[in-house]
Amino acid sequence: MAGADQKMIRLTSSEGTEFLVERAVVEKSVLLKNMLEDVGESDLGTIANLTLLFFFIPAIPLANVTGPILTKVIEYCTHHRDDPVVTQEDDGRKSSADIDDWDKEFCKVDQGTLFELILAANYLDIKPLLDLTCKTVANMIRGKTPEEIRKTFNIENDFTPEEEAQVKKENEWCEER
Amino acid sequence: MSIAHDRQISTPERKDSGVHFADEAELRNIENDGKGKQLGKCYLDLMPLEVKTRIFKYLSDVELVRISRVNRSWYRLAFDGSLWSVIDARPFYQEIAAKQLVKLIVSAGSFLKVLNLRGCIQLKSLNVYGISTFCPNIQSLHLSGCRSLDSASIADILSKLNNLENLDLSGLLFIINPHCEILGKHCRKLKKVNLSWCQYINSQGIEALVDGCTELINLKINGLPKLNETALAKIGMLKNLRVLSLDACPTLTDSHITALLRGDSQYPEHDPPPLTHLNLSNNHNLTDVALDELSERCPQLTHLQLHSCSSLAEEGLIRLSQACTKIEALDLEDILSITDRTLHSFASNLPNLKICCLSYCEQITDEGVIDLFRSCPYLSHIDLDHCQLLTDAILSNLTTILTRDGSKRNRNVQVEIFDCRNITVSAVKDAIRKVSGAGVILKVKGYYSWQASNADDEEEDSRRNANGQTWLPRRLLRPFGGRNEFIRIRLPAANGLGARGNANANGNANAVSRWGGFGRCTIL
Repeated sequence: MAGADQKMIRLTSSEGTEFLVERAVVEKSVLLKNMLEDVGESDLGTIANLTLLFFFIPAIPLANVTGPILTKVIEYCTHHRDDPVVTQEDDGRKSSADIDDWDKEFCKVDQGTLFELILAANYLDIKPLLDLTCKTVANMIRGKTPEEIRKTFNIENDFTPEEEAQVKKENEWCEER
Repeated sequence: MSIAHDRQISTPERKDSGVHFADEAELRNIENDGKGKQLGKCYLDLMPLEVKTRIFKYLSDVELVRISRVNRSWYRLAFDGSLWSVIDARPFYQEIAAKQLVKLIVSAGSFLKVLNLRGCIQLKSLNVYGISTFCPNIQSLHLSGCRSLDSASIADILSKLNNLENLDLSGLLFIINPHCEILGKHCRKLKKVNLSWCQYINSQGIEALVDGCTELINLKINGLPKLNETALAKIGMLKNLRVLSLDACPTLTDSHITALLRGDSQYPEHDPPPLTHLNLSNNHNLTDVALDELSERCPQLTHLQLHSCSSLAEEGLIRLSQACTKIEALDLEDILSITDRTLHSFASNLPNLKICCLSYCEQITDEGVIDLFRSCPYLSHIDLDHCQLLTDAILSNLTTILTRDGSKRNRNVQVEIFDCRNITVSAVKDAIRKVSGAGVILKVKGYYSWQASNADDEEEDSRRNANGQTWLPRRLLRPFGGRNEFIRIRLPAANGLGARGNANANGNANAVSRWGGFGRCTIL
């Protein structure tokens, strides 16, 4: 899959499954990028023959990420490998601009997977993926009534009836619009 | 006090699910057990606080408040200060009660950087006392139209906002000279100030403001009735001033402009400020002397508004166009002395001209306008309302010019021709038809109540016709909504819309008024 001189990295998921990934793809993760930079170029070497040198490639264990999730993360990073790095401010509210079709399709997963993806993106520091998944969740919240939100996310309503009435009254201004 | 009370509504001392970091193992177990949903587990609650905040950052103000009803932890999170660094009440200023508004502001606390309360008349001075002690980091404050506040409460707010950079108090009649003194003393980082129509401010106030706030880039003081030369000379000493608006200042004369650009007896000879945007509209005493000063001292001007400056003569404008060749936007509405000679001079001297308003310049003819079209390749907007001598020839020439070669030429053009009696409907339709398909977007605004444009796709039009909803394609009936945006895009520095604009610029005015607030080309 990769050119002969492509630098490869081994990633190990929490269950011990190994993934051989191009360095350019791995570097979408700021955590891993920094890690690799700390290790230094020379230790990684250039792979001339994959089969021969496979075991000399350093492996990075990712104890917090399961195999299926890591597969998804790698899929995302591979698709977006050539995207420019966006360094936008983290300040304030963001617009949830349109999500492109590939990304939308990518996020069509069950809620468990979606939230695990968020955690993985957060842990691996892959901002575009974190933004995408958070945006997807925000879109799941948007336009729903509190009751619908509770149902969607299995949230327990722990307001006392008095509190609920008060909160409702407080927020009257933003209802029915 | 209401603030303290509001703070206590969220009482619960439950396990702080927000700060609880998700236990990965726990998460995985759920996954292994099958579908988490059936177990009644809430994945969202397992997310770290920072992730939840990140998700909520994608919701609007109203949505955020709405979700606070979900449960206690959501309530706490929805009013987390970090989500409220910008409070822009414009979408809901009519619905929200003062108490709730204050609650939002206090929740935002020291995170709050931008506060726009434009038109919140429900805010009484009692509500806002002490607010700035909660939010000392506000950088941008917009209070125009908050007319239920008073002098004392505004003074109280301003005196604690040391980081303020952008302030709009336009139209508040209780703003007086002492407020300017407070600004000069406490808000020295101010870069952009709008005190338009604060009619009780006079030269003294402006001097105090300018003395303290030496970083000012953008100053709007439209409609101040009592400005003397000294105040203008002081304004002229601002080293960074790029945008200055002096619309309808009745005392303004040529000597004021001289003072602005050269100093006066008290503050003699200073370098002129690096003005690029200048609005001197509705100043009937200005003559060619002022224009000559501008020609000499402000060759870098790009945006100039002079509408209804009735004493200006043609010669001054011609000399101006020869000196200020960087001009991109010109508003010359209702300057009756303009003839084709002026336009020819513009055509040969202003290659960058993008926006030009010549409405009510009744002496101009086809020849001058066509010369302008031909020589200014970036021209994107031209107002020609009530220019009675213009005929169909301008449209046919424009389409020829637009469809002809010239990669440099801007191909998105808006023409306004209200009340031009010699331009016929068929000519407009012809022009629109001719340019469609040629990669040109032409919008013609004019005639009684409809706007013509080829910007929409034909398919939708024909569908509507087939449905029999209207005999005219929708594109011809649609209100000319784009204009407001157009101005904002071209001129990011401009957020006010001039005095007339202010009246209806709130909310969705641009969809409603056909040309109410924008009857003139507002540039500054």
